[in-house]
Amino acid sequence: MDYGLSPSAPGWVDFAPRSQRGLDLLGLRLPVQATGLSLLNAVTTIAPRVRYLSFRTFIADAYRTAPGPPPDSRDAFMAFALPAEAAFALGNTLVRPDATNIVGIGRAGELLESEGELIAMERLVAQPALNIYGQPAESLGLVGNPDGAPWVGRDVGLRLAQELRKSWGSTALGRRFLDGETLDAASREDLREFGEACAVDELLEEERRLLIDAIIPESPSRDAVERVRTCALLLYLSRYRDAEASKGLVTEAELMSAARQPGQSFPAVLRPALDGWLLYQVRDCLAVAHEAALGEVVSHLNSEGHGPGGLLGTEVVEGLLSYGSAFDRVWTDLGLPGTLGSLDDIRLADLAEIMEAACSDGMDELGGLRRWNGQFDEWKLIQARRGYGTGVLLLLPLAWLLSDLRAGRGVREKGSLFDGLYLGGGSRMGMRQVVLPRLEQMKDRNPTLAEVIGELVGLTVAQHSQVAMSRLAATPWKDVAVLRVEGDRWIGLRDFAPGRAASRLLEITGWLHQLELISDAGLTEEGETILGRALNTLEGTPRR
Amino acid sequence: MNPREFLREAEYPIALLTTYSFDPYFFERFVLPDLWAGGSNRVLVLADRGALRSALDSQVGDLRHLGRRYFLEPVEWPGAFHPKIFLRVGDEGGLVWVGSNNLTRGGWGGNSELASAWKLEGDGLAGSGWLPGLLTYLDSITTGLARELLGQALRLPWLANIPGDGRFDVLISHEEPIGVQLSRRWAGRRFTSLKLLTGSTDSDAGFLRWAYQTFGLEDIDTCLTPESASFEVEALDALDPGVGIVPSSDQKLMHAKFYWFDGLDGGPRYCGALPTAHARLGSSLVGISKPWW
Repeated sequence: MDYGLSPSAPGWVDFAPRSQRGLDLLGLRLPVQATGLSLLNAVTTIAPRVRYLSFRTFIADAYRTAPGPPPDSRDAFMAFALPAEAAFALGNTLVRPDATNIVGIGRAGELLESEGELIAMERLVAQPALNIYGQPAESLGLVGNPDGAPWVGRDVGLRLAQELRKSWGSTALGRRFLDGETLDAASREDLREFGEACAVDELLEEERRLLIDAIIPESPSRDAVERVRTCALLLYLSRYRDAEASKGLVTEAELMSAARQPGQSFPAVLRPALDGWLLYQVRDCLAVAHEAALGEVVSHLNSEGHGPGGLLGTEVVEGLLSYGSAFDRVWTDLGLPGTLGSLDDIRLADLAEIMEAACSDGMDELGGLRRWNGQFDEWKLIQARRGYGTGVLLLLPLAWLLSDLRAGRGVREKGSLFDGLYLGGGSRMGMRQVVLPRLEQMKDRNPTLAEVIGELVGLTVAQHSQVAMSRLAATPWKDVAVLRVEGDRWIGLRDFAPGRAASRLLEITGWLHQLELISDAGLTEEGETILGRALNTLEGTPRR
Repeated sequence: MNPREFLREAEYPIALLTTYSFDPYFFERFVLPDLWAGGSNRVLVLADRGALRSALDSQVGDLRHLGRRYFLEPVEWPGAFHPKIFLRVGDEGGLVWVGSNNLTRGGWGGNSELASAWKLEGDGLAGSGWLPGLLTYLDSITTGLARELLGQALRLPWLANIPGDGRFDVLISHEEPIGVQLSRRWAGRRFTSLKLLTGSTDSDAGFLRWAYQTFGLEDIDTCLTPESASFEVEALDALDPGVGIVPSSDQKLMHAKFYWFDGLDGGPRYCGALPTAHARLGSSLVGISKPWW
């Protein structure tokens, strides 16, 4: 800026960040994801097909062993690998036009509609499968070196690469890849041959066994132990589920339900996974409740008639709380006793008492973590995040009180099991730093439910404001704020769709299915063997 | 007017920032790093006590630097402590920013805000007579380390070069209401119209009545965000000149304060932190008045 020596005509103040969409706008999904990652690493939501792990390994091996040797550079590797990925997608599209989860199938289909025999190898998507499956393949030890050209892992990775060499490397295109050729174009015939060999929904027998060894290793590294435990839990649940009554594969809901069950009906080595996924639900529930509340606030601010001046925060809360019937509906559907009545008539202590009663049946406590029978739990609250309009605001006090009921003692006693509940500290609404102390303060005051919700909505808004500001400070050209606080006014900036962090249990279940360890009928014979092996492994492995 | 660029201008080691609203989280994540980038490592923020209490009450994140990397001084003031002056000074001179923007995200362009910035150095000190008075005043209301920092600013040698000719580019109301100062400055001048931007209003249209009675206005147009207006219809109807209310067409909240008096005697403009609230006219204001714009 040029400055004069006296005041100039004033100008509009701005530093021109652009409003953009963002994810995790309360920053509360991050600790949920971190907790989930500690229980199940190497699995991502965008990597559903295990065969891509094989492809990633094959292409790393082809590059590393090509004559030359080629440079240890990620760019050089990608220049070689992207045409190979195009060949993988084109080949698969030719032989399995109705297959799902082939990265780039749309563009591949367009290219195949051309009349020529030769198909040019071009990058098909902005985010190639090589990147998407890179981190899972590295976490599983199949490949390594994320900074340069990948090398193939010494044990399972190497054996997998050798197996794929024999099969895929015997095709015309496979040979060209193994010779280190960067493909410009390929014939339909060669693509079809390659597609038959590397069909995304089929695995070679030895390839399948090797992938099982990578995902559920017999001698897991420190990072892999909890993944083995979660996989074993899923296999165990598949063994005992009622295949007649439960259609399809074991579900996230079933695992979460198992984690909440009181008693000791599972092998002791699976207990840490059950505890972990139960604590995951506590944090997930808090995040879901606050996101749902933010969604309602933003929706109210953006509704017709509320202009750029926004509304007083108190007006927003008052407006949101005015739909009494929405709260009654949530109350009833959650199975809480009687009717809720007016939010001004019920106090926090009353609600706490009702919840304690709802959670008392068969309650057991182990290491500061409580479990009970009955239907009132985190999962129920998580499911109630949709379809209740402003009624979802009731989830805020319920989630807070439930977190205390479930894990308050463990958090207060600072058991290491509960670390995930205060991950991220005060800036992520950690239970020890924010939830429990505030809850204590509120219990001392014993406000009405309307006041509690108002306070928690205000906290939600402040949390979003701070997260958006932190992001803006890191990337000053990008503003993800969906609302802004100006003094005591809240101003809506853009729409917001609340949601939930993905647990990745769906993806790992898909992997176990592709590896033929589970099926719609439950645990397969091989699944039984691998479950036994995993339980033995865990018996001899200290918890991480 | 980019406040980030202003804060990053090197090298002014002392920063004195006054504000009504203060968002400590925004300040620590956003403003402070820019000040450091501009070499300002001695930082004092003076904010309205009431607004500050409310901001700190709703604070949920950790404040890492308060009391260590900057001082925060609540200012008790009848009405409100409302100036938004960002002053950065060093051995050779200074930079000043006067505007409508608080130390909040809204103040950084989230709202519609106006500001002006200029240098204080060398031959450009004419019109800076307001500065020693402001520093002395702030010195008188602070204590401890904050006061020590103000003392360092007051001892800067170039302050002695500010001409004592009574020319003030910036009007400050700690001794005398802005309205009185403007009446004196523009004594005898008559204007036909007033066009103004504002972020808030009084309910009894006291400011507009004062402007009308003092300068003989014939019409007044007020541009604002309707939700921020507190005018009572009867009060507006009681004013002799017609008062046009023009809703801001901007998608942002109008928070700028700008006053354009026009007529046969020319068009002085005034901008700064003066809300159109007569009650505050005598207590909490600061603004730039440059009739030669």
